[in-house]
Amino acid sequence: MERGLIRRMYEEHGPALLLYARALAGDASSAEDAVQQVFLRLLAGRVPLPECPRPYLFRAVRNESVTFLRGRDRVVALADAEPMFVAPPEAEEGERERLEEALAELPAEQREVVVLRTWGDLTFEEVAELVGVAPNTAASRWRYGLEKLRARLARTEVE
Amino acid sequence: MDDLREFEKRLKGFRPVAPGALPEGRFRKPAWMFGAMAAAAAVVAVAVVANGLLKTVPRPKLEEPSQAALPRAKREVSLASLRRVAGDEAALVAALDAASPRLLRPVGGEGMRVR
Repeated sequence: MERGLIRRMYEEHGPALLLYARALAGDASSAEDAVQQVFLRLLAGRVPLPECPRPYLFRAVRNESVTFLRGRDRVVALADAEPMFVAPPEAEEGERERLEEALAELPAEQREVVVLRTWGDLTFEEVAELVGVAPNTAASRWRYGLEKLRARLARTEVE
Repeated sequence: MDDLREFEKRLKGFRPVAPGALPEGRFRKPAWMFGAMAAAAAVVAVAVVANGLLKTVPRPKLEEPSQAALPRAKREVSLASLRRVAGDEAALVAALDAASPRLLRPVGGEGMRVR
């Protein structure tokens, strides 16, 4: 596998993969380790790359994060000091922080689906296959998650 | 559902931060490490060979005194034979000379000789 291609994939998919790993593992450094491990294995030629890399990469990061979580005694809070997003220019002051807090407060299964769908750009079928649920279940989790996020952000705006 | 998709579009405006650069050198050992490992292996090999060589050199046992330092006695001597000549100094000296080499007093032109 060409190293240049893998590096380009890292640049293109790395941010969404990192967000996903953080949604699963919690802290930024563990999440980054998980993502980098996946790509280092690709660079070392230890695993072949399938034709559709995006679902494969998210699955690989999920497996890596689950392995990491098994080895830990406690779950680290999702919202640590490292920012998860870069706010757009039109964002309000503090909106990025409120989004990150709201995301951290979602139930884990809703947070996972929202991240995969919204920032990972996976289809509901791909999300369903990855997390091991039916596509309708994935769609429901996405809907409930977004509704909670919207309500949470609207509430903090009023405050 | 349309309003949820609009909200999702707004969320997509927040771009996830990028991970750090890939530590590609992580799986590559620096050249000096190979040199250090080779040197350590050489030291171990030399130590093993040296230890093996040391084991083949015969070492005298402590309970057996070296025969090179002590020449053989010309005649056996015993306490009884020494008691017999105890009162006679000349006979005593002769008996002791017979039991040990004459390192200090050459007798009869024999000189100093180590057997």
